Amino acid sequence: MTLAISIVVAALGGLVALAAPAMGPGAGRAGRILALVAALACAALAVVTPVGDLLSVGGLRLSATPAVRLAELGWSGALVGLGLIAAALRIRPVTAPGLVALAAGLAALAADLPAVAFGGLAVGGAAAVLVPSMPRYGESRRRPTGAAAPAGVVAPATLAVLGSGLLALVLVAWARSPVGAAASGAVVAIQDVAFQSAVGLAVLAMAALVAVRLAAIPAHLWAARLVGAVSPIAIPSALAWGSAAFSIVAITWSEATLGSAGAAIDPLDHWLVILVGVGGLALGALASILHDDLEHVLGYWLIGAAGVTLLAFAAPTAAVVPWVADWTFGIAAIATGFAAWIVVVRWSFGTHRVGSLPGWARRSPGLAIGLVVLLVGSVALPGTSLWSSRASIAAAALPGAPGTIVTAGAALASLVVFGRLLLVGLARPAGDVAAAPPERIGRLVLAPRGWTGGGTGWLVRRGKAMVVANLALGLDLVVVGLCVLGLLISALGMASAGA
Amino acid sequence: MTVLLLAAALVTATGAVATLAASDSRLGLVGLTASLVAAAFVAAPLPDPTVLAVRLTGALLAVAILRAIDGYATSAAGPIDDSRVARRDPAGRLRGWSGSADAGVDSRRGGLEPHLGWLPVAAIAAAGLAAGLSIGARLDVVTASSAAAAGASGSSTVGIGPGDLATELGSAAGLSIGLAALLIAIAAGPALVGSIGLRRAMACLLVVEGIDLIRLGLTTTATVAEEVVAALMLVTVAAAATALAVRRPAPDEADEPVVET
Repeated sequence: MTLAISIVVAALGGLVALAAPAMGPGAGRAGRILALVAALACAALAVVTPVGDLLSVGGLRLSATPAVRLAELGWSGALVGLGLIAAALRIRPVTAPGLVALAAGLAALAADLPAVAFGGLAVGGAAAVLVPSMPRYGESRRRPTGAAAPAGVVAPATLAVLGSGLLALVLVAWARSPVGAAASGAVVAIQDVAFQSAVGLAVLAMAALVAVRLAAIPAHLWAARLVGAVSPIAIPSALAWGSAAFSIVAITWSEATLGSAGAAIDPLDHWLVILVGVGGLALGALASILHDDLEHVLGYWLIGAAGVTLLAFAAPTAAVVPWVADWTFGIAAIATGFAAWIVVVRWSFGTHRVGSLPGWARRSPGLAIGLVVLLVGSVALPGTSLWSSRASIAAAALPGAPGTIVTAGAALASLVVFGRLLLVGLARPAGDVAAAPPERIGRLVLAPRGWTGGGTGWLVRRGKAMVVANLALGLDLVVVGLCVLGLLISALGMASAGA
Repeated sequence: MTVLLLAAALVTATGAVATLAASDSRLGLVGLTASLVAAAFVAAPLPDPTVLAVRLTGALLAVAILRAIDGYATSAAGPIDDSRVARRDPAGRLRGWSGSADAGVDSRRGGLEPHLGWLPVAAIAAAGLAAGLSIGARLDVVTASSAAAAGASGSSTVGIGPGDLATELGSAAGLSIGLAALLIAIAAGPALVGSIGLRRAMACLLVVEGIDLIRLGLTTTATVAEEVVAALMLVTVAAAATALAVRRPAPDEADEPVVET
């Protein structure tokens, strides 16, 4: 029941907040506040939702598994943090579409019907991709949100998200049909060679849809263009959290399909998936290391991580499912912290190019702490959830030394990506970084300039002046908070959600 | 095969052809409405009133949302590519939906804006229907008697005898798959290529409906929750297409993102 309340709160909060600007001049602001409150409520409900909470409605059963609780905790926390940053910087907010995507994601993860899960994820994903890209979304007199993403960028992204969900419905329908793998008393004998091939092809097709949805190489172009066109705070909901839910539902379905048919993945399919997964991991990491603008560094880092997720489809067994959950949610949580870090860096130093940021860490110790936390979380220490899941997925697909090499390579890639940024930050401040105004650097200001005491309401005026003067410090604290959340989720995984 | 089933299939097919073959957007919308509404009745026996209500609501809501594109195109302020009625050049040749200066050429995209006309679309539809019915007839989901017979004899093949052909083709499942192939055959191209506008949006809706018909043809039964999600998908695709079609292009839609500082 608590889970159902969470889903309703998220869905209603998001939809009302989206519709609010159409209701009047002041309604937009009220909508943004409502969205933040709804996200906070979801985070609080995630703490009290018991594992195993069950609800049946309209032939659908929703059960709160550890993966559902972890998604709710991490995703709603991410929306709260990113929403606060958007409010402080007066940039395009993403809490409302993120809430719609959260509601769809929770329902998808909790549902026992794969068709409902994939359909819901497609709807939620479309909201997360489309809404933040629309012109004038979140715009007001005091909040000029700038140019919207071009239609040529948004349309392929929407097509990828909706198309992957739609085609997944066809696979699910086939599996449920009398000639499919999951139907009891299947018409076709299980030993039939054609049937076995069909089952293997269906799993391969599902892996291909996951590759499209996660924007794994070579289906990555829509995401690579999207990250350059939207605000960084829109990227976690659009590319990370929704994709994580999709991959979990997909791997669960694949494992169940193979199991009910008594089939195994074909060796050719096995090596094809490994080729695409390892290739995507390597090329994504390379692109992330080489790119100069921070948004593409984040985007390609996510694309590289998708390669590891794909490896799970080379050996879809029941044991792989929780590893995929830990891996994808850990990556999504780290990506959230990274996105917040990028936005605040852009605001502080007026640039998003790595080459223009020498010395950023010396000028802004708060952001430096955040990046160090991200580095530790993404590389992951042995024994943590992210490390174990990465190693287990790689070992399941590639037993022995090759799996170990893939695991080490993935960890090294994250080390290089975040380490490069840290090294640039430790150089002598120059250019945009040196010229950044002091009020945009996170430092505690106890005596705001230009403030005068006395008169009525001086305490309120003092409070407001303190908030404005310490805005940069506040932003740094929110960034560090999101980075620490990412570290905790990546380190503890589903254990943090009571698994 | 019942009369209602046959009528529903006929209206679905005709409406889909009218959606993409018509040169007038109003006729296209009427055709789309007829196709989506009739597709809800391609089932035997008819589904629960709840399921039917959900399907019809989703279909009508999706079309209502698409009306926004049509309304936007007719307003003086709409900088949209698709004209409300396909224009003709001085020689009387159709210019297609883009209404651009050169006959059939979309000046913004630099390529052809497809506008095939009634006969070609109907021919593609017929080919798609034939292919879909053939596939449906080869699948043993079509009639329970075929499935039971195959199971009783221990057969591992999915073929059918010639005597069952008419029954197989005329069943709801067979017609669903046939109609799905028809919809996807005529709509896949316009849905994937062309400028973002009403025609592409309607094609996307037909593709979604086709995929839903495949789902219903294969599974034959669905829960209320699945129907709600299917209706939501239809509405979401319509809303997404409308949002993309009516957006005003930013004056500087360039490659570099705007740094929001």
